[in-house]
Amino acid sequence: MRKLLCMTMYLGGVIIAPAYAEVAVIVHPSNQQNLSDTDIKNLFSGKQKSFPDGNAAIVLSLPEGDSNLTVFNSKALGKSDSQMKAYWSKVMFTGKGTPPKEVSQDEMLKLVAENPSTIGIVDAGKVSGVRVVGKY
Amino acid sequence: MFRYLWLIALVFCTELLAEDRFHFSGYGSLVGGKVIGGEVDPSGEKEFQVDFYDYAFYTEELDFEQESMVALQMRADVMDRLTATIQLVAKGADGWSPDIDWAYLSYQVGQDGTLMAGRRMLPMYYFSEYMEVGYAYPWLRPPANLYWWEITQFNGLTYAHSFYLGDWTLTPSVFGGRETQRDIKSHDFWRNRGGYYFPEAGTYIAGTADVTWSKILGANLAMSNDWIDLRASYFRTHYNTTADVFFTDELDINNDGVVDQRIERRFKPDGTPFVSGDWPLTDFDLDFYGLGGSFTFEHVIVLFDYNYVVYDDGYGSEFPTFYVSMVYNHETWQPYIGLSTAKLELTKDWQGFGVGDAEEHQIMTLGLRYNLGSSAAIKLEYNDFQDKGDRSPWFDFSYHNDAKLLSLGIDFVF
Repeated sequence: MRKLLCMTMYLGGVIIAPAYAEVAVIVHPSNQQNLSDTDIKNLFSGKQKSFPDGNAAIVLSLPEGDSNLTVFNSKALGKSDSQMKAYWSKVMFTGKGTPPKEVSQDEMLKLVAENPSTIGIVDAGKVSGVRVVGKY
Repeated sequence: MFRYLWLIALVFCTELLAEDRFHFSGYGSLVGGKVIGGEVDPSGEKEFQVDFYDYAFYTEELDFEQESMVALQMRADVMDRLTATIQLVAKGADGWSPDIDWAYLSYQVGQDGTLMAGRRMLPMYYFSEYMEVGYAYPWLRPPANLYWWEITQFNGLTYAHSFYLGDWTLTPSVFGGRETQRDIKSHDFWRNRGGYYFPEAGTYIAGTADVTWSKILGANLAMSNDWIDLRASYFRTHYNTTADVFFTDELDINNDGVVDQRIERRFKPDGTPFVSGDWPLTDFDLDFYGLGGSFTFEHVIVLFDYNYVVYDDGYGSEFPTFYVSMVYNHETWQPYIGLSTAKLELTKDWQGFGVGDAEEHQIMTLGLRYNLGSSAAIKLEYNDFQDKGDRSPWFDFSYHNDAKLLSLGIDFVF
Protein backbone atom coordinates (compact mmCIF):
# COMPACT_ATOMS: atom_id res chain seq x y z
CA MET A 1 0.00 0.00 0.00
CA ARG A 2 2.81 2.37 0.87
CA LYS A 3 4.24 1.74 -2.54
CA LEU A 4 0.91 2.55 -4.08
CA LEU A 5 0.74 5.80 -2.14
CA CYS A 6 4.26 6.71 -3.15
CA MET A 7 3.41 5.97 -6.73
CA THR A 8 0.28 8.08 -6.57
CA MET A 9 2.27 10.89 -5.00
CA TYR A 10 4.94 10.55 -7.62
CA LEU A 11 2.40 10.65 -10.41
CA GLY A 12 0.52 13.49 -8.84
CA GLY A 13 3.77 15.13 -7.88
CA VAL A 14 3.34 18.13 -10.10
CA ILE A 15 0.28 19.15 -8.15
CA ILE A 16 1.16 17.90 -4.69
CA ALA A 17 4.88 18.24 -4.22
CA PRO A 18 5.33 22.02 -4.08
CA ALA A 19 5.05 22.80 -0.37
CA TYR A 20 1.64 21.26 0.31
CA ALA A 21 0.16 21.76 3.72
CA GLU A 22 -0.63 18.86 5.98
CA VAL A 23 -4.26 17.86 6.29
CA ALA A 24 -5.78 16.99 9.66
CA VAL A 25 -8.70 14.64 10.28
CA ILE A 26 -10.74 16.18 13.07
CA VAL A 27 -13.46 15.17 15.52
CA HIS A 28 -15.28 16.80 18.45
CA PRO A 29 -13.04 17.27 21.54
CA SER A 30 -15.30 14.92 23.54
CA ASN A 31 -14.63 12.11 21.08
CA GLN A 32 -11.57 10.44 22.61
CA GLN A 33 -11.47 7.35 20.39
CA ASN A 34 -8.41 6.42 18.39
CA LEU A 35 -9.03 5.91 14.71
CA SER A 36 -6.80 3.72 12.55
CA ASP A 37 -5.88 4.61 8.96
CA THR A 38 -8.32 1.89 7.90
CA ASP A 39 -11.14 3.44 9.98
CA ILE A 40 -10.48 6.81 8.36
CA LYS A 41 -10.32 5.31 4.90
CA ASN A 42 -13.54 3.33 5.45
CA LEU A 43 -15.41 6.28 6.96
CA PHE A 44 -14.48 8.63 4.12
CA SER A 45 -15.33 6.07 1.46
CA GLY A 46 -18.72 5.32 3.02
CA LYS A 47 -17.88 1.69 3.80
CA GLN A 48 -18.06 2.31 7.54
CA LYS A 49 -20.91 4.34 8.94
CA SER A 50 -19.97 4.47 12.62
CA PHE A 51 -17.01 5.17 14.92
CA PRO A 52 -15.23 2.18 16.48
CA ASP A 53 -17.40 2.59 19.62
CA GLY A 54 -20.51 1.99 17.51
CA ASN A 55 -21.86 5.54 17.49
CA ALA A 56 -23.03 6.78 14.10
CA ALA A 57 -20.61 9.09 12.30
CA ILE A 58 -21.51 12.13 10.20
CA VAL A 59 -18.71 12.50 7.66
CA LEU A 60 -17.98 15.96 6.26
CA SER A 61 -15.77 16.72 3.31
CA LEU A 62 -14.31 19.78 1.57
CA PRO A 63 -15.60 21.28 -1.68
CA GLU A 64 -14.38 19.79 -4.96
CA GLY A 65 -11.14 21.39 -6.11
CA ASP A 66 -9.93 22.29 -2.58
CA SER A 67 -6.22 21.41 -2.52
CA ASN A 68 -6.56 19.98 1.01
CA LEU A 69 -9.09 17.50 -0.31
CA THR A 70 -6.72 16.50 -3.10
CA VAL A 71 -3.97 15.85 -0.54
CA PHE A 72 -6.35 13.86 1.67
CA ASN A 73 -7.69 11.77 -1.24
CA SER A 74 -4.21 11.01 -2.41
CA LYS A 75 -2.49 10.31 0.92
CA ALA A 76 -5.27 8.90 3.10
CA LEU A 77 -7.39 7.17 0.48
CA GLY A 78 -4.73 6.44 -2.15
CA LYS A 79 -6.92 7.86 -4.93
CA SER A 80 -6.87 10.87 -7.24
CA ASP A 81 -9.78 13.34 -7.19
CA SER A 82 -11.19 11.91 -10.41
CA GLN A 83 -10.86 8.32 -9.14
CA MET A 84 -12.80 9.32 -6.02
CA LYS A 85 -15.42 11.02 -8.16
CA ALA A 86 -15.73 7.87 -10.29
CA TYR A 87 -16.01 5.79 -7.10
CA TRP A 88 -18.77 8.01 -5.69
CA SER A 89 -20.68 8.05 -8.98
CA LYS A 90 -20.74 4.27 -8.87
CA VAL A 91 -21.91 4.24 -5.24
CA MET A 92 -24.42 7.06 -5.67
CA PHE A 93 -26.04 5.88 -8.89
CA THR A 94 -26.46 2.32 -7.62
CA GLY A 95 -28.10 3.45 -4.40
CA LYS A 96 -25.28 2.13 -2.22
CA GLY A 97 -24.68 5.44 -0.47
CA THR A 98 -24.10 9.15 -0.80
CA PRO A 99 -20.85 11.10 -0.75
CA PRO A 100 -20.06 13.11 2.39
CA LYS A 101 -21.59 16.55 2.62
CA GLU A 102 -19.21 19.23 1.35
CA VAL A 103 -18.61 22.27 3.57
CA SER A 104 -16.00 25.04 3.64
CA GLN A 105 -13.07 24.85 6.10
CA ASP A 106 -14.58 27.50 8.39
CA GLU A 107 -17.94 25.75 8.42
CA MET A 108 -16.16 22.42 8.96
CA LEU A 109 -14.38 23.69 12.10
CA LYS A 110 -17.62 25.13 13.45
CA LEU A 111 -19.71 22.00 12.76
CA VAL A 112 -17.13 19.58 14.17
CA ALA A 113 -16.62 21.73 17.29
CA GLU A 114 -20.38 21.69 17.88
CA ASN A 115 -21.39 18.13 17.03
CA PRO A 116 -19.80 15.05 18.69
CA SER A 117 -21.01 12.80 15.83
CA THR A 118 -19.03 14.56 13.10
CA ILE A 119 -15.67 13.85 11.53
CA GLY A 120 -14.04 16.12 8.97
CA ILE A 121 -10.84 17.32 7.32
CA VAL A 122 -9.09 20.71 7.43
CA ASP A 123 -5.72 22.26 6.73
CA ALA A 124 -3.61 21.17 9.73
CA GLY A 125 -2.56 24.81 10.27
CA LYS A 126 -6.15 25.87 10.90
CA VAL A 127 -7.03 23.41 13.66
CA SER A 128 -8.68 24.97 16.71
CA GLY A 129 -11.36 23.85 19.15
CA VAL A 130 -11.38 20.29 17.72
CA ARG A 131 -9.42 17.09 18.27
CA VAL A 132 -7.05 15.76 15.63
CA VAL A 133 -7.25 11.99 15.04
CA GLY A 134 -4.94 11.76 12.05
CA LYS A 135 -2.61 13.80 9.89
CA TYR A 136 -1.68 13.27 6.25
CA MET B 1 -45.22 -1.63 -9.16
CA PHE B 2 -42.69 1.07 -9.94
CA ARG B 3 -45.47 3.32 -11.11
CA TYR B 4 -46.93 3.32 -7.62
CA LEU B 5 -43.54 4.01 -6.10
CA TRP B 6 -43.10 6.85 -8.54
CA LEU B 7 -46.43 8.32 -7.34
CA ILE B 8 -45.57 7.83 -3.68
CA ALA B 9 -42.20 9.44 -4.22
CA LEU B 10 -43.76 12.34 -6.11
CA VAL B 11 -46.16 13.02 -3.26
CA PHE B 12 -43.34 13.01 -0.74
CA CYS B 13 -41.15 15.04 -3.03
CA THR B 14 -43.74 17.75 -3.46
CA GLU B 15 -44.01 18.07 0.29
CA LEU B 16 -40.28 18.14 0.74
CA LEU B 17 -39.38 20.30 -2.19
CA ALA B 18 -38.77 23.37 -0.10
CA GLU B 19 -36.50 21.54 2.30
CA ASP B 20 -32.91 20.38 2.15
CA ARG B 21 -34.00 16.78 1.83
CA PHE B 22 -34.08 16.73 -1.91
CA HIS B 23 -30.99 15.86 -3.92
CA PHE B 24 -30.51 16.01 -7.66
CA SER B 25 -27.62 14.48 -9.54
CA GLY B 26 -27.07 12.88 -12.88
CA TYR B 27 -24.77 11.48 -15.50
CA GLY B 28 -24.54 11.17 -19.22
CA SER B 29 -22.48 10.28 -22.27
CA LEU B 30 -22.07 11.70 -25.73
CA VAL B 31 -20.58 9.02 -27.96
CA GLY B 32 -19.90 8.82 -31.66
CA GLY B 33 -18.77 5.69 -33.47
CA LYS B 34 -18.02 4.29 -36.89
CA VAL B 35 -17.24 0.83 -38.20
CA ILE B 36 -13.84 1.02 -39.88
CA GLY B 37 -13.45 -2.54 -41.06
CA GLY B 38 -14.84 -6.03 -41.06
CA GLU B 39 -17.13 -8.22 -43.09
CA VAL B 40 -20.69 -7.75 -44.24
CA ASP B 41 -23.12 -9.66 -42.00
CA PRO B 42 -26.52 -11.15 -42.98
CA SER B 43 -28.13 -7.67 -42.79
CA GLY B 44 -26.03 -6.60 -45.78
CA GLU B 45 -23.94 -4.12 -43.79
CA LYS B 46 -20.83 -4.13 -41.67
CA GLU B 47 -22.31 -3.80 -38.20
CA PHE B 48 -20.94 -3.60 -34.68
CA GLN B 49 -23.41 -4.23 -31.86
CA VAL B 50 -22.70 -2.16 -28.77
CA ASP B 51 -25.90 -2.54 -26.81
CA PHE B 52 -27.79 -5.72 -27.46
CA TYR B 53 -30.88 -5.02 -25.38
CA ASP B 54 -31.38 -1.45 -26.60
CA TYR B 55 -30.58 -2.60 -30.11
CA ALA B 56 -27.77 -0.11 -30.57
CA PHE B 57 -25.23 -0.77 -33.29
CA TYR B 58 -22.85 1.15 -35.50
CA THR B 59 -22.39 0.88 -39.24
CA GLU B 60 -19.84 2.47 -41.54
CA GLU B 61 -21.65 5.79 -41.14
CA LEU B 62 -20.58 7.97 -38.23
CA ASP B 63 -23.40 7.95 -35.68
CA PHE B 64 -23.87 9.92 -32.47
CA GLU B 65 -27.30 8.58 -31.48
CA GLN B 66 -26.57 4.97 -30.63
CA GLU B 67 -24.98 5.34 -27.20
CA SER B 68 -25.52 8.97 -26.26
CA MET B 69 -27.67 9.25 -23.16
CA VAL B 70 -28.45 11.37 -20.16
CA ALA B 71 -29.81 10.39 -16.73
CA LEU B 72 -31.23 12.39 -13.88
CA GLN B 73 -31.39 11.02 -10.36
CA MET B 74 -33.62 12.45 -7.67
CA ARG B 75 -33.29 11.32 -4.10
CA ALA B 76 -35.55 12.44 -1.28
CA ASP B 77 -35.02 11.81 2.42
CA VAL B 78 -38.60 10.87 3.14
CA MET B 79 -38.14 10.41 6.86
CA ASP B 80 -35.53 9.12 9.25
CA ARG B 81 -33.96 5.99 7.66
CA LEU B 82 -36.23 6.09 4.59
CA THR B 83 -35.20 7.54 1.22
CA ALA B 84 -36.88 7.49 -2.19
CA THR B 85 -34.77 7.39 -5.35
CA ILE B 86 -35.81 7.79 -8.96
CA GLN B 87 -33.59 7.70 -12.01
CA LEU B 88 -34.87 8.85 -15.39
CA VAL B 89 -32.78 7.76 -18.36
CA ALA B 90 -33.13 9.03 -21.93
CA LYS B 91 -31.14 7.31 -24.69
CA GLY B 92 -30.49 8.23 -28.28
CA ALA B 93 -30.99 4.59 -29.34
CA ASP B 94 -34.44 4.74 -27.79
CA GLY B 95 -35.46 7.99 -29.52
CA TRP B 96 -34.61 10.00 -26.38
CA SER B 97 -37.86 8.99 -24.67
CA PRO B 98 -37.20 8.92 -20.92
CA ASP B 99 -37.49 5.58 -19.09
CA ILE B 100 -37.64 5.03 -15.36
CA ASP B 101 -34.62 2.80 -14.86
CA TRP B 102 -34.62 3.03 -11.09
CA ALA B 103 -37.47 3.87 -8.69
CA TYR B 104 -37.21 2.47 -5.21
CA LEU B 105 -37.54 3.10 -1.53
CA SER B 106 -34.58 2.36 0.67
CA TYR B 107 -34.92 1.71 4.38
CA GLN B 108 -31.93 1.50 6.69
CA VAL B 109 -32.25 -1.49 9.01
CA GLY B 110 -30.10 -1.02 12.11
CA GLN B 111 -26.61 0.34 11.48
CA ASP B 112 -25.54 -1.94 8.61
CA GLY B 113 -28.62 -3.27 6.84
CA THR B 114 -30.55 -1.82 3.90
CA LEU B 115 -33.90 -2.96 2.56
CA MET B 116 -34.76 -1.71 -0.93
CA ALA B 117 -38.17 -2.06 -2.55
CA GLY B 118 -38.96 -1.09 -6.11
CA ARG B 119 -37.25 -0.95 -9.47
CA ARG B 120 -33.49 -1.44 -9.59
CA MET B 121 -30.80 -2.72 -11.92
CA LEU B 122 -30.41 -6.49 -11.70
CA PRO B 123 -27.03 -7.29 -10.12
CA MET B 124 -25.70 -9.68 -12.76
CA TYR B 125 -22.28 -8.80 -14.11
CA TYR B 126 -19.67 -6.93 -12.09
CA PHE B 127 -20.57 -3.67 -13.86
CA SER B 128 -24.29 -4.38 -14.42
CA GLU B 129 -25.58 -2.02 -11.79
CA TYR B 130 -23.74 0.96 -13.21
CA MET B 131 -23.07 -0.07 -16.79
CA GLU B 132 -24.65 3.16 -17.98
CA VAL B 133 -22.61 5.42 -15.72
CA GLY B 134 -19.70 5.70 -18.14
CA TYR B 135 -17.77 8.03 -15.86
CA ALA B 136 -17.55 5.31 -13.19
CA TYR B 137 -15.52 2.82 -15.26
CA PRO B 138 -12.48 3.12 -17.47
CA TRP B 139 -13.80 2.00 -20.86
CA LEU B 140 -16.23 3.62 -23.24
CA ARG B 141 -18.59 0.72 -22.58
CA PRO B 142 -18.50 -2.65 -20.85
CA PRO B 143 -17.79 -5.47 -23.35
CA ALA B 144 -20.90 -5.62 -25.53
CA ASN B 145 -20.74 -9.34 -26.19
CA LEU B 146 -21.20 -10.03 -22.46
CA TYR B 147 -23.66 -7.32 -21.44
CA TRP B 148 -26.29 -8.41 -23.87
CA TRP B 149 -29.51 -9.23 -21.97
CA GLU B 150 -32.91 -7.80 -22.82
CA ILE B 151 -33.64 -7.57 -19.12
CA THR B 152 -31.39 -5.35 -17.04
CA GLN B 153 -33.78 -4.07 -14.36
CA PHE B 154 -36.27 -5.78 -12.12
CA ASN B 155 -39.09 -4.88 -9.78
CA GLY B 156 -38.75 -6.44 -6.38
CA LEU B 157 -36.99 -6.50 -3.05
CA THR B 158 -33.30 -6.42 -2.13
CA TYR B 159 -31.79 -6.77 1.32
CA ALA B 160 -28.10 -6.02 1.84
CA HIS B 161 -26.10 -6.26 5.04
CA SER B 162 -22.52 -5.06 5.57
CA PHE B 163 -19.98 -6.21 8.12
CA TYR B 164 -16.22 -6.10 8.63
CA LEU B 165 -13.69 -8.85 8.94
CA GLY B 166 -10.18 -7.53 9.54
CA ASP B 167 -9.39 -5.25 6.58
CA TRP B 168 -12.33 -6.57 4.57
CA THR B 169 -15.79 -5.10 4.14
CA LEU B 170 -18.30 -7.79 3.24
CA THR B 171 -21.78 -7.16 1.88
CA PRO B 172 -23.98 -10.19 1.28
CA SER B 173 -27.34 -9.43 -0.29
CA VAL B 174 -30.43 -11.31 -1.43
CA PHE B 175 -32.94 -10.18 -4.02
CA GLY B 176 -36.15 -11.34 -5.67
CA GLY B 177 -38.71 -10.02 -8.13
CA ARG B 178 -39.75 -10.01 -11.77
CA GLU B 179 -39.60 -7.96 -14.94
CA THR B 180 -41.34 -7.75 -18.30
CA GLN B 181 -39.97 -5.84 -21.27
CA ARG B 182 -42.41 -5.23 -24.09
CA ASP B 183 -41.81 -4.54 -27.76
CA ILE B 184 -38.19 -5.56 -27.75
CA LYS B 185 -36.63 -4.85 -31.10
CA SER B 186 -33.65 -7.11 -30.72
CA HIS B 187 -35.56 -10.35 -31.31
CA ASP B 188 -36.58 -9.15 -34.72
CA PHE B 189 -33.06 -7.95 -35.28
CA TRP B 190 -31.68 -11.41 -34.58
CA ARG B 191 -34.44 -13.19 -36.44
CA ASN B 192 -33.71 -11.19 -39.57
CA ARG B 193 -30.13 -12.31 -39.25
CA GLY B 194 -30.91 -15.99 -39.07
CA GLY B 195 -31.89 -16.44 -35.41
CA TYR B 196 -34.76 -18.72 -34.62
CA TYR B 197 -37.07 -18.58 -31.65
CA PHE B 198 -40.78 -18.98 -32.02
CA PRO B 199 -43.02 -22.02 -32.44
CA GLU B 200 -44.37 -22.76 -35.88
CA ALA B 201 -48.06 -22.32 -35.00
CA GLY B 202 -48.92 -19.12 -36.81
CA THR B 203 -46.54 -16.97 -38.79
CA TYR B 204 -44.27 -14.62 -36.94
CA ILE B 205 -45.03 -10.97 -37.64
CA ALA B 206 -41.86 -9.02 -38.18
CA GLY B 207 -41.79 -6.53 -35.37
CA THR B 208 -41.11 -6.94 -31.73
CA ALA B 209 -41.34 -9.46 -28.93
CA ASP B 210 -42.06 -9.39 -25.20
CA VAL B 211 -39.78 -10.98 -22.64
CA THR B 212 -40.61 -11.79 -19.02
CA TRP B 213 -38.24 -12.88 -16.31
CA SER B 214 -40.41 -14.12 -13.47
CA LYS B 215 -39.54 -15.62 -10.08
CA ILE B 216 -36.13 -13.92 -10.04
CA LEU B 217 -34.38 -15.08 -6.88
CA GLY B 218 -30.70 -14.61 -6.17
CA ALA B 219 -27.84 -13.64 -3.90
CA ASN B 220 -24.67 -11.56 -4.17
CA LEU B 221 -21.57 -11.37 -2.06
CA ALA B 222 -19.45 -8.24 -2.41
CA MET B 223 -16.13 -8.06 -0.57
CA SER B 224 -13.40 -5.48 -0.68
CA ASN B 225 -10.21 -4.39 1.04
CA ASP B 226 -7.49 -1.87 0.21
CA TRP B 227 -6.70 -3.27 -3.21
CA ILE B 228 -9.11 -6.12 -3.95
CA ASP B 229 -12.77 -5.79 -4.82
CA LEU B 230 -14.72 -8.97 -5.59
CA ARG B 231 -18.31 -9.85 -6.27
CA ALA B 232 -19.92 -13.26 -6.60
CA SER B 233 -23.47 -13.49 -7.91
CA TYR B 234 -26.10 -16.10 -8.52
CA PHE B 235 -29.73 -15.96 -9.52
CA ARG B 236 -32.40 -18.08 -11.09
CA THR B 237 -35.35 -16.85 -13.11
CA HIS B 238 -38.05 -18.19 -15.40
CA TYR B 239 -37.60 -16.87 -18.93
CA ASN B 240 -40.53 -16.48 -21.28
CA THR B 241 -40.74 -14.72 -24.61
CA THR B 242 -43.70 -14.25 -26.92
CA ALA B 243 -44.29 -12.46 -30.23
CA ASP B 244 -47.31 -11.50 -32.29
CA VAL B 245 -48.22 -14.07 -34.96
CA PHE B 246 -50.90 -14.44 -37.62
CA PHE B 247 -52.81 -17.41 -38.98
CA THR B 248 -53.93 -17.86 -42.55
CA ASP B 249 -57.33 -19.40 -43.17
CA GLU B 250 -57.66 -21.06 -46.54
CA LEU B 251 -61.21 -21.02 -47.85
CA ASP B 252 -62.57 -23.38 -50.48
CA ILE B 253 -65.82 -21.57 -51.25
CA ASN B 254 -67.21 -23.80 -54.00
CA ASN B 255 -65.92 -27.05 -52.52
CA ASP B 256 -63.88 -27.94 -55.59
CA GLY B 257 -60.79 -28.77 -53.55
CA VAL B 258 -59.01 -25.61 -54.72
CA VAL B 259 -58.35 -22.76 -52.28
CA ASP B 260 -60.30 -19.71 -53.44
CA GLN B 261 -59.37 -17.22 -50.75
CA ARG B 262 -56.73 -16.79 -48.06
CA ILE B 263 -57.65 -14.71 -45.01
CA GLU B 264 -55.03 -13.48 -42.62
CA ARG B 265 -56.12 -13.43 -38.97
CA ARG B 266 -53.99 -11.32 -36.62
CA PHE B 267 -56.53 -10.63 -33.89
CA LYS B 268 -58.76 -12.72 -31.71
CA PRO B 269 -62.51 -11.95 -31.64
CA ASP B 270 -61.92 -9.75 -28.59
CA GLY B 271 -59.46 -7.60 -30.56
CA THR B 272 -56.28 -8.74 -28.79
CA PRO B 273 -53.41 -9.92 -31.01
CA PHE B 274 -52.55 -13.57 -31.40
CA VAL B 275 -49.29 -14.29 -29.67
CA SER B 276 -46.93 -17.19 -30.09
CA GLY B 277 -47.37 -20.06 -27.69
CA ASP B 278 -44.81 -21.48 -25.30
CA TRP B 279 -42.41 -24.17 -26.28
CA PRO B 280 -39.04 -25.27 -24.94
CA LEU B 281 -37.18 -22.55 -26.87
CA THR B 282 -39.24 -19.68 -25.48
CA ASP B 283 -40.19 -20.82 -21.97
CA PHE B 284 -37.54 -22.16 -19.61
CA ASP B 285 -35.54 -21.66 -16.40
CA LEU B 286 -32.32 -19.63 -16.50
CA ASP B 287 -29.44 -19.86 -13.99
CA PHE B 288 -26.80 -17.14 -13.80
CA TYR B 289 -23.43 -17.62 -12.05
CA GLY B 290 -20.84 -14.85 -11.91
CA LEU B 291 -17.56 -13.89 -10.29
CA GLY B 292 -15.95 -10.55 -11.04
CA GLY B 293 -13.67 -8.05 -9.48
CA SER B 294 -10.74 -5.69 -9.61
CA PHE B 295 -7.20 -5.70 -8.28
CA THR B 296 -5.46 -2.37 -7.80
CA PHE B 297 -1.70 -2.79 -8.14
CA GLU B 298 1.00 -0.16 -8.03
CA HIS B 299 0.87 0.69 -11.73
CA VAL B 300 -2.22 -1.04 -13.05
CA ILE B 301 -5.75 -2.02 -12.21
CA VAL B 302 -6.79 -5.47 -13.41
CA LEU B 303 -10.52 -6.09 -13.89
CA PHE B 304 -12.15 -9.43 -14.65
CA ASP B 305 -15.57 -11.03 -14.89
CA TYR B 306 -16.39 -14.67 -15.43
CA ASN B 307 -19.98 -15.73 -16.00
CA TYR B 308 -21.84 -18.89 -16.76
CA VAL B 309 -25.44 -18.87 -17.86
CA VAL B 310 -27.46 -22.05 -18.27
CA TYR B 311 -30.84 -22.29 -20.00
CA ASP B 312 -33.04 -25.26 -19.28
CA ASP B 313 -34.35 -24.89 -22.85
CA GLY B 314 -34.72 -27.25 -25.79
CA TYR B 315 -31.11 -26.72 -26.84
CA GLY B 316 -29.72 -26.99 -23.28
CA SER B 317 -27.96 -23.69 -24.05
CA GLU B 318 -24.92 -22.78 -21.99
CA PHE B 319 -23.12 -19.43 -22.22
CA PRO B 320 -19.65 -19.24 -20.70
CA THR B 321 -18.41 -15.64 -20.95
CA PHE B 322 -15.27 -13.98 -19.71
CA TYR B 323 -13.41 -10.73 -19.86
CA VAL B 324 -10.18 -9.37 -18.51
CA SER B 325 -8.93 -5.80 -18.74
CA MET B 326 -5.90 -3.84 -17.60
CA VAL B 327 -5.86 -0.12 -16.95
CA TYR B 328 -2.75 1.95 -16.37
CA ASN B 329 -3.29 3.75 -13.08
CA HIS B 330 -2.52 7.37 -13.85
CA GLU B 331 -4.73 10.17 -12.54
CA THR B 332 -5.13 12.01 -15.84
CA TRP B 333 -4.30 9.60 -18.67
CA GLN B 334 -5.55 6.03 -18.38
CA PRO B 335 -4.70 3.77 -21.31
CA TYR B 336 -6.40 0.39 -21.20
CA ILE B 337 -6.66 -2.93 -22.97
CA GLY B 338 -9.29 -5.62 -22.71
CA LEU B 339 -10.36 -8.97 -24.06
CA SER B 340 -13.83 -10.49 -23.79
CA THR B 341 -15.09 -13.79 -25.12
CA ALA B 342 -18.60 -15.20 -25.28
CA LYS B 343 -19.70 -18.63 -26.35
CA LEU B 344 -22.93 -20.54 -26.86
CA GLU B 345 -22.80 -24.28 -26.43
CA LEU B 346 -25.79 -26.47 -27.25
CA THR B 347 -25.86 -29.50 -25.00
CA LYS B 348 -29.19 -31.10 -26.01
CA ASP B 349 -30.22 -32.30 -29.44
CA TRP B 350 -33.32 -30.25 -30.33
CA GLN B 351 -35.24 -31.71 -33.28
CA GLY B 352 -32.07 -33.01 -34.88
CA PHE B 353 -30.07 -29.78 -34.57
CA GLY B 354 -27.36 -31.71 -32.81
CA VAL B 355 -25.07 -30.53 -30.04
CA GLY B 356 -21.84 -28.54 -29.94
CA ASP B 357 -20.51 -25.00 -30.14
CA ALA B 358 -23.07 -22.79 -31.85
CA GLU B 359 -21.62 -19.33 -31.40
CA GLU B 360 -18.35 -17.82 -30.32
CA HIS B 361 -17.00 -14.33 -30.53
CA GLN B 362 -14.43 -12.15 -28.89
CA ILE B 363 -13.80 -8.44 -28.62
CA MET B 364 -10.33 -7.03 -28.26
CA THR B 365 -10.33 -3.49 -26.89
CA LEU B 366 -7.71 -0.74 -26.86
CA GLY B 367 -8.50 2.64 -25.43
CA LEU B 368 -7.49 5.79 -23.67
CA ARG B 369 -9.35 7.70 -20.98
CA TYR B 370 -8.46 11.30 -20.30
CA ASN B 371 -9.87 12.83 -17.12
CA LEU B 372 -11.05 16.37 -17.72
CA GLY B 373 -11.10 17.78 -14.22
CA SER B 374 -13.08 15.61 -11.85
CA SER B 375 -16.51 15.53 -13.50
CA ALA B 376 -15.87 14.52 -17.08
CA ALA B 377 -13.70 12.12 -19.03
CA ILE B 378 -12.94 11.81 -22.73
CA LYS B 379 -12.48 8.31 -24.09
CA LEU B 380 -11.16 7.05 -27.39
CA GLU B 381 -11.65 3.34 -28.01
CA TYR B 382 -10.91 0.78 -30.70
CA ASN B 383 -12.73 -2.56 -30.70
CA ASP B 384 -12.02 -5.58 -32.82
CA PHE B 385 -14.98 -8.00 -32.88
CA GLN B 386 -14.03 -11.42 -34.13
CA ASP B 387 -16.71 -13.91 -34.98
CA LYS B 388 -15.41 -17.40 -34.36
CA GLY B 389 -18.77 -19.03 -35.07
CA ASP B 390 -17.86 -19.97 -38.59
CA ARG B 391 -14.87 -21.83 -37.26
CA SER B 392 -17.05 -23.86 -34.86
CA PRO B 393 -16.95 -27.58 -35.49
CA TRP B 394 -20.36 -28.20 -36.95
CA PHE B 395 -22.82 -25.40 -37.25
CA ASP B 396 -22.69 -21.72 -38.02
CA PHE B 397 -25.47 -20.33 -35.86
CA SER B 398 -23.84 -16.98 -35.99
CA TYR B 399 -25.65 -13.85 -37.11
CA HIS B 400 -22.76 -11.49 -36.68
CA ASN B 401 -19.49 -11.08 -38.43
CA ASP B 402 -16.06 -9.60 -37.89
CA ALA B 403 -16.12 -5.85 -37.35
CA LYS B 404 -13.75 -3.13 -36.20
CA LEU B 405 -15.13 -0.08 -34.45
CA LEU B 406 -13.63 3.26 -33.58
CA SER B 407 -15.51 5.41 -31.07
CA LEU B 408 -14.96 8.65 -29.22
CA GLY B 409 -17.02 9.81 -26.28
CA ILE B 410 -17.29 12.07 -23.31
CA ASP B 411 -18.77 10.85 -20.02
CA PHE B 412 -19.86 13.28 -17.36
CA VAL B 413 -21.49 13.43 -13.93
CA PHE B 414 -23.29 16.34 -12.35
